[in-house]
Amino acid sequence: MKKKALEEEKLDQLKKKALEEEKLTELQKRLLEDERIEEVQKKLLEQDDLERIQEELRNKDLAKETRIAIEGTEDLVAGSNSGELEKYKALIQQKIYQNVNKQLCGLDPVELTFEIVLMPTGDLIGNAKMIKSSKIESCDQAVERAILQAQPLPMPQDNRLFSQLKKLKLKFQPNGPIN
Amino acid sequence: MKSFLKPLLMIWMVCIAGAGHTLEVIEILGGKASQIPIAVIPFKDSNPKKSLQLMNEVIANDLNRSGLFSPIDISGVSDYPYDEREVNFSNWAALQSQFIVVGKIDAIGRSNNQMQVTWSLIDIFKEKTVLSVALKGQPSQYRVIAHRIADTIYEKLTGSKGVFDTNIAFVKKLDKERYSLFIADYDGHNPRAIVNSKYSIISPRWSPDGEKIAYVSFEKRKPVIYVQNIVTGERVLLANFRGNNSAPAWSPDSKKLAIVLTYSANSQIYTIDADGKNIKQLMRTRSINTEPTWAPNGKEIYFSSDRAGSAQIYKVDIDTNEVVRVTFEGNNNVSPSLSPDGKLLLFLNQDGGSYRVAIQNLLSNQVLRLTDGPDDESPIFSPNGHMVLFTYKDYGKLSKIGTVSINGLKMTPIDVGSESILESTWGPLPN
Repeated sequence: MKKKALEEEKLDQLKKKALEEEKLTELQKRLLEDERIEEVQKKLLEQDDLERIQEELRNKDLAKETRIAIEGTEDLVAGSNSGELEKYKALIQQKIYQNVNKQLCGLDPVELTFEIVLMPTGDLIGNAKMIKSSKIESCDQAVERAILQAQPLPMPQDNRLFSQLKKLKLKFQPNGPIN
Repeated sequence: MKSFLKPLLMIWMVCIAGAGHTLEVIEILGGKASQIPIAVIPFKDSNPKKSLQLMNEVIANDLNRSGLFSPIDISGVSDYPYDEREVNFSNWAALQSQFIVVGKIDAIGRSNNQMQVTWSLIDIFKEKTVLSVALKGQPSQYRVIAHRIADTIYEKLTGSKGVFDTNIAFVKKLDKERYSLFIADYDGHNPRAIVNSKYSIISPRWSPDGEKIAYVSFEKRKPVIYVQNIVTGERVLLANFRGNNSAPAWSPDSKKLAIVLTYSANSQIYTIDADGKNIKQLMRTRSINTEPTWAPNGKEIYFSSDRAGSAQIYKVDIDTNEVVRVTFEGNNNVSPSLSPDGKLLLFLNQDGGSYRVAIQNLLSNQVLRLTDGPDDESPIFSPNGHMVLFTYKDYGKLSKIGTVSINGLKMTPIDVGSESILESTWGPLPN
């Protein structure tokens, strides 16, 4: 009688152990999966970084060109102001870029243009107005969402600077430049 | 008078707007591969049945599997909304949700044995309903209805057809002498056997028109190819030539197959009509040519070959027999297939001993490895080309099936029981 009880207890213990082991493997599996996701995200981030750096380089070139152009025509904008303007443009660019989900834009290069009007708070007045469509509805929608989601956009305190930024044209090339 | 003034007024307004300085332009180049956060709320059920409460989970799981959405955790939310008026937009925006799916289920019909599902997809940023749909069906069809809802959401937000209402087929090894070819929902539910055999079955391939499955059977003590009608169960012995008959691949119009025979010596690719007539050898080389797969344009066949020493993927023009090498990265590249738009090549990439599922963009030739291996096999695209079905070895070294999204973000097992799965294939979109 005692022996039987003992055996049953042993069996119970074994079952418990098996269950625990099962849980452990389950946990390990989940950990592995989490690691996978992290790794992929890291990879994607790295890719993004690369694109960012390239983009910044391009922006620098653009900024330089703009500055040269501005310096050439003395009467337009004060030189000290243009640095601030470029800074805010870069901040706005960065904030919207974070939200652009290019997966909804197919594989081929596409271009979209939106116009927005902003309040001093950085929130949109009315809707983002699409000037040029990618001809892919899901892409147009995704880019519009990216703009809306980026509110409030970074805005300068300075009134004169704000007046230059309150109406903006946003040009998107989610799958890279069109050649 | 009014209609006469209106255009004038508009011209005046345009002049005012254009009077200022030129617009500042901000260029936003590139973007991210991110997932759309979406909340799928349990549907309000006037006559609660447990199974129906799972509909939102089926929808959320479908969207999650695609890798393009991330369903948000709603377990902490106390008050579920059931239509647009009940949605607290700022609360859902605070939960980072971009969209919300709500709905209700009503019993209809003479003895309330039918149900009507009324559901809406609501945009949190724009604070408006994007879609509002009513569906009718039997309560027992709740999974199919949920898959169709997920398909509708998917198509609306991504612009591509969803594949949640499609089927897969797979071969299960039940024991040493029992093999079955099953058809099931794409997520593994509702499996039913269409072939039972004492001998091994491999390489099932669904015809693009959805009517037939070709497969390789060992019932004649060597591999031969059968084509079986799914509806009638009628089957035809397509190829039983001298040597091995293997690796069937359907042409896009479902009228022909490419197959591999060892008829004259080593493995060579042939084309054959679906009724077994008109067999032709595709190219004549001394090297092995195998694993044919048709390009969606019907003019080229991709295949693997050892002609360069290692196994690599090539394509051949069916008319001219001109061959071009396609893969260059890694030690070996095998098991090719093409996305429905013909822009992506899916294959197994072997590098350093482990086989992993990879895709190559055929324009840029950039390769992205989707899985970690080490023993992944038989990858095949979903009919919209956004996911891949493949087999992998689990920790006990049993062969399992799962899907991975082509952005590599989501690998999800398909649960079809504990037995070993030999191979699988994905059926086409419903007509």
